[in-house]
Amino acid sequence: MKYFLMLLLSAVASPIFTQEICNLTLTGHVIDEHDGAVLSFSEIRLLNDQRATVADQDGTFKFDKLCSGTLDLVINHIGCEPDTLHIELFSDLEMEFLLEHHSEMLEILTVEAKRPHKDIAQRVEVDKEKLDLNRGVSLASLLDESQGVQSLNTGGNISKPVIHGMHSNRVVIMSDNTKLQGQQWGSEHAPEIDPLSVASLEVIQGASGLRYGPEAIGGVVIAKKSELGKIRKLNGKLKSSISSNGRQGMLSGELQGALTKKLPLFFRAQLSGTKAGDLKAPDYYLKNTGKEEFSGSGQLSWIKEKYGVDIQYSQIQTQLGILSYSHIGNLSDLEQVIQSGVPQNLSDSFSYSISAPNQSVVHEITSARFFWKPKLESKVEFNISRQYNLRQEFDVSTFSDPSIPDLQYEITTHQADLHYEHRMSGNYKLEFGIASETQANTYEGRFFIPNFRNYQGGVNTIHHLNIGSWEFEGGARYDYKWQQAFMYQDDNLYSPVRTFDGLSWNIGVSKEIEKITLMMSFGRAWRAPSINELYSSGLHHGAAAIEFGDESIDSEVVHSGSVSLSTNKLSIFNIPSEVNASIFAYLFDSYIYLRPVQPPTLTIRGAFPTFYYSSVDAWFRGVDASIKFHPTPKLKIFLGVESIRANEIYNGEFIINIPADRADASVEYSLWERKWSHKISVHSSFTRQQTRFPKGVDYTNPPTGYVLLGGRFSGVLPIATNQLQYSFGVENATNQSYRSYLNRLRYYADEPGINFILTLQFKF
Amino acid sequence: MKKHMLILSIMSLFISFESCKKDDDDPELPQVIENEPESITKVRLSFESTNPTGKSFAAEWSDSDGVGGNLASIDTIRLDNGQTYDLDVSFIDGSGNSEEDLTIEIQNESDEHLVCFESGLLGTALSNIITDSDGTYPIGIQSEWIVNSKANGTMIISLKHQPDGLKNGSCDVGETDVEIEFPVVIN
Repeated sequence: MKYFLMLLLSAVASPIFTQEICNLTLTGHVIDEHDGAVLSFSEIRLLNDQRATVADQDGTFKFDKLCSGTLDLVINHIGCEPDTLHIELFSDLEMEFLLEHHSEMLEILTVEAKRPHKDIAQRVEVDKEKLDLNRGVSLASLLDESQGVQSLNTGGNISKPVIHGMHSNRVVIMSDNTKLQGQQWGSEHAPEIDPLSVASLEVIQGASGLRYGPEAIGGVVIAKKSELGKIRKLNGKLKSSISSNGRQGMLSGELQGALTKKLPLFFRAQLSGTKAGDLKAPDYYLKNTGKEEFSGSGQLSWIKEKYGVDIQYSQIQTQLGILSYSHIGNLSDLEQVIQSGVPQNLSDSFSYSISAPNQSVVHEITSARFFWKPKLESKVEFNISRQYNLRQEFDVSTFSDPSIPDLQYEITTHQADLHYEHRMSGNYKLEFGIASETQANTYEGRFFIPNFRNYQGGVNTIHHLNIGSWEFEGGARYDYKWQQAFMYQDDNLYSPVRTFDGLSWNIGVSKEIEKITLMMSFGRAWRAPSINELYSSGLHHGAAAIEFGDESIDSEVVHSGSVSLSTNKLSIFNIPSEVNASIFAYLFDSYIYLRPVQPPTLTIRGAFPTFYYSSVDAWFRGVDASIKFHPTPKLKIFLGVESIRANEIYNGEFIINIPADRADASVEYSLWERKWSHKISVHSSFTRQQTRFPKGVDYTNPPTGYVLLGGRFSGVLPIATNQLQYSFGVENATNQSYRSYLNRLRYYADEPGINFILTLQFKF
Repeated sequence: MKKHMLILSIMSLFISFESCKKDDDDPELPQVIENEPESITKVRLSFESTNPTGKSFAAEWSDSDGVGGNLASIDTIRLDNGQTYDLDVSFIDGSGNSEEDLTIEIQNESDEHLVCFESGLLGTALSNIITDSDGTYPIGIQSEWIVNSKANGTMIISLKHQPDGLKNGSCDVGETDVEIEFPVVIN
């Protein structure tokens, strides 16, 4: 259910912080967002003291004798999934709860509290329905349809989020409170997060993102599990999904609740598994694209009003096949494949077996989080974590033992960070944080990147201020990184030390005029070159390329700016609509990228395409815009466009591997009754051919443009007091043969064809 | 007090979790040799003239330190006009301290391997015929080279891995395990 929460009368109320007051009143009116009609008889529960009430016939409800602080409310509307929202209460409050009545039960609860604080940072949240009914493919594909975000795929199974054309080292991924650290440098290394365990997913850009690190040039992706401590009753969900393409099956279960009757001790346990075989392009099977994944996690939380402790352990194990057709021995084979446009040694049979070339990755996270709210207006948070990542890569080779990886990396990361938040007055909030990290990496087998150890630390501060309809946000952080690599050169140990440091900052301002919010932000960010950009040397077999780092590369520094506009409930041609649009620019001082060079490197296996890491001054700019129309409460129409341009500054040459322009459209029609709801939707996306690329550098020109069609029938059915959510959908409905420019394996084979997906989720 | 005890016990649980994980390997001493997979770093061509007075010799293509590092060393194949040579191709792992001949392994899986020859600019000056067979298709480890006239050119020698019944006598299928080019001079 989609709520739009507005604090209408809170401007009248001036916040008081001096002491805890327990005589406050909250009055609410529940109203249909579209026609303003009163929604009667919603059930509202107050989790703080377990009170509950039912709104009257006029949709009005009231709680009195409330204490100041955060209120946790659950609104239970007819047939809807109960959901929680948080309100900061500092004085008597009367507000409207605008319910998007028709758009049934599954969507994310979007709370737009106009006051006291709203981030200027651009946030993109992913639909809860999409999270609930995803077929467990990947994190990136969940984000794919979000504004400004695309996914970079390598074969059918590996994908990473791309924000404004940036990915891998330029996007920070947070798994709950831990910054994900694996061998994230490779574009064919997927983020080690189980998409089935993710309950909320958002992308943050701007000053608020500074909290998570200096290197979030593209943005921060925050994947969170559902919050513990809200519901004491034992509850959980069971999810299962099957898809026709790849004959994929997926099962996931989650259980959570309070451990004992009285103690504020909560737990969660989650297990999931996925098995998939070879995917199928319209004309042939994509040989060796199977996947097996198992993941489990456990969590214990002790949550009191003023303090809490939360410990978590999670592990994910993935076995992935790498498309056989991509494993090309040499340049003459590569040329042959590119010229014919059809892979060699085509397979016409399906198989679940995964053979070389393949990857096996184990990632575990152990973390603890402590929070303390000494006073109502302040909060201290301490996070500590350990991550261990084991990556094994198996090459096709006649002579090596297939059970011994040709290449193995083990990387261990420890992180600790302390964060302090203080609300100085009703309209000023400051945050202060320190963060530290140490990493050790070892490899065995063929050399590609060296062993290394690094230590880094940083301090950051972020300030939010609002004056009337103006909001200001500013933040800065300083980081220092020390890194030593260890490798053999002519049998002698070579262990260079590099240090990097830099300042990041971001300021933003937003102004609300009528129903339009205008936002502007500027900032500076930097990142140290990663280990592969400095020292890699050898065969990167997942990419069938020889890559060389450059020790002399310095930090990448970027200045960025963006202007954006968003409207809420604006009428266009008398149709209620929402518009979101932003333009952005990035100015890079030393943009690090992989540059193809001639001639190819001669090896005993033939000549291999060869790439050098190099850096160049570059500028990126682009626009993304979307509009949502609601012609009738049952009908929703969405249109969106995204476009990025990137050039070198001095000679104007295009930057390689920038996503092509894209447009999206969808139409959704809903049907609902008191107890059930169904929805039918059709979506389509058009991706243009990328015509802006450096000529004669890449091994082939970008693929032609394509249109993809999909559709879905989904809904909710009540089963006793529980709910069954279902979704039956089709992707690439026309079975279109196409290739994506961002897929590193586009040289070799088409993307997957038509896919039918059935997903069921039972919540209890 | 009870609560504090509980928090403490949770924390100690966490710490014990941490400590029972296996320790990192020492990054300061890269372990490169232990799991180094076997790989072909050298191809040796042993030519034996069928004429008792003709010369017998070997030519090598060798890159013992693998990709990067030192460049490969490549011998020139020098043949005499009018001669016929028997050729034995050996595939050798020369990355360790002692050479290991991997040709035997290829022989043992001869139904999955094919050695291919492709001449550049030699035309009819040189013809070669594979003389060994896996029972159905040629292997190419042994071949006969017939020199017809004087010329300069190149010879590309490749080893194809064609498992799972792929082998059909053609060089167009399978993975390329080796692909190297020798200069050829015929006097």
